Amino acid sequence: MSILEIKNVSQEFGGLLALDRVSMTVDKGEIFGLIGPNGAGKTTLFNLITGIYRPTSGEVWFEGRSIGGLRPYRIATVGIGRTFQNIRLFKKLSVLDNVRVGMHSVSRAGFISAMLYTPWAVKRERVTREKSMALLELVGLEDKAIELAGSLPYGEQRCLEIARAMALDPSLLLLDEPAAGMNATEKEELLELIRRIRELGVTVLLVEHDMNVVMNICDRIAVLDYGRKIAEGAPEQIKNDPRVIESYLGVEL
Amino acid sequence: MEAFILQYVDIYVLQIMVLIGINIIMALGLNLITGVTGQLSMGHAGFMSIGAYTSAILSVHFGMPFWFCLTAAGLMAALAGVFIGIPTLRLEGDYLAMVTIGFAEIVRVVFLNLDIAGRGMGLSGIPATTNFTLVWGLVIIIVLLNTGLLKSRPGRALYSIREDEIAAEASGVNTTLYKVVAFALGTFLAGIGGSLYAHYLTYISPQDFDFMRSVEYLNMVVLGGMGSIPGTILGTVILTIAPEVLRFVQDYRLLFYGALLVILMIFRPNGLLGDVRWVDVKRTWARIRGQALASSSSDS
Repeated sequence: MSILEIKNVSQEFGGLLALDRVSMTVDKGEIFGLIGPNGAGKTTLFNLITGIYRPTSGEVWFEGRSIGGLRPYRIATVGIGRTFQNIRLFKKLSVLDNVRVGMHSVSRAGFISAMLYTPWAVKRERVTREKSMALLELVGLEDKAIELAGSLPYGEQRCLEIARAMALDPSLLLLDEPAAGMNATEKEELLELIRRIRELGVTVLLVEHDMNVVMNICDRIAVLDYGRKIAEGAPEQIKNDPRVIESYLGVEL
Repeated sequence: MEAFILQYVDIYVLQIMVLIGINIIMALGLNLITGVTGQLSMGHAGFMSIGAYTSAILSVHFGMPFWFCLTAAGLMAALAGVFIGIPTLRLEGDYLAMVTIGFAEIVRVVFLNLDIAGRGMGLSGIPATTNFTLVWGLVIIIVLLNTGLLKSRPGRALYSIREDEIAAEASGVNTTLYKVVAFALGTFLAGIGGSLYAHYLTYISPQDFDFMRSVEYLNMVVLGGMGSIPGTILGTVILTIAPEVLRFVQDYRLLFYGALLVILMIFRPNGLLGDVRWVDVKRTWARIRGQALASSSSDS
């Protein structure tokens, strides 16, 4: 059963064709990998799915409805969470607050009820706090709840970003190079975290350069090169696909 | 209340205290827009003048009761805030600042040429309905409302827009809506402040609301700490009192002022209380107490 369908999507920036008629389907509950050399269009595709760009042509369908061209905050509310390639945390806010912002669309307390300290708003605050702490426990950051997000070491910042994206209670989680800059131990923990996330019923779409991570955890993989999808299939197939090898390593002379 | 205070201080000090109160209301409004949400507004005085003139005109020319004038002042300024906020949504930093400066100038020139506003002569004879109790009563209410707002979901949404707008959108925050609401709330407060100001001085003219005035309010927010309520209050108190205290170096006042800001930029670029969090204060206090206890027990 598919949760995300990308139908013949193209993305043009001026004269540059960043994505060229890309189509793929992500099934519910799987961990789907998206790989390819730098500049292949992976992050562009992510930005397209999450509404930062509007596709030049083609459609994006999520859980049976078209989401192409919706604003990013609407896409967040329909259940797609994401992390960013170069970590976009709210650096001057606390770790807990970062996750609580992620809960923005889930809680409903508005301006008036917040200013007036209404009992309803207070209760919503407590629920938000509990759920956010639970998410911090999921990623192992509960001890650092009151620390400034900007003061965390790099690997923990990535985990915090994942916790924030999970706060949306998403059905689909987009991870943009989550293992970048991590050491071997951190990568192990990351794999564990992604598995736990899958067990919670979340589908994961993952862009990653580290082949160990990708081959280890993905059910299926798609490969992009120069904006086109050049291969798709199980890890074993992709590993041995000559076109994939050629795109990464070049042609033997 | 004023009679009570006058037993202890003279009327000059009382006036300063009232002005501090009005400035706090103005600065808290600007803090919401610029300090919390990160939208650089350098035209705050323009919204203040809309509030001041609305209130003054309604009471002088139409004889409306003060409460009506005060509320109308806030609402008119808020309307102007929305009017400016919506088309500028995509602008950032310097460009937004330019638009706000331009807007404030346009407002000033409009009032300069409006007959009902007294043109260059301004409006005098405004009923003196502002007093210490009213101003500080409003300050307390506004501080409470502000604190409630900033410690909760909508407040966090506003801070997140300042920190990283793209990440905020990806987290489900409707940044367009929230930026406009921040503008509306901040300018509402400016309108209230303007009305209080008009009914205190009983005379206003376009020169009262020039660019330098906008800069003064921005300084109060920046000096105190962007996004911090106690910081903004501290910055306002310091910068309202400073010109009075520095009267003795009258000629060198601007030099002093400039030096103060330079020192600040070197040692506390985020404002006096900008980086200070209540939780850090509590922890430091606990640590100091712990050390004091440890050293006193080793003495015995």
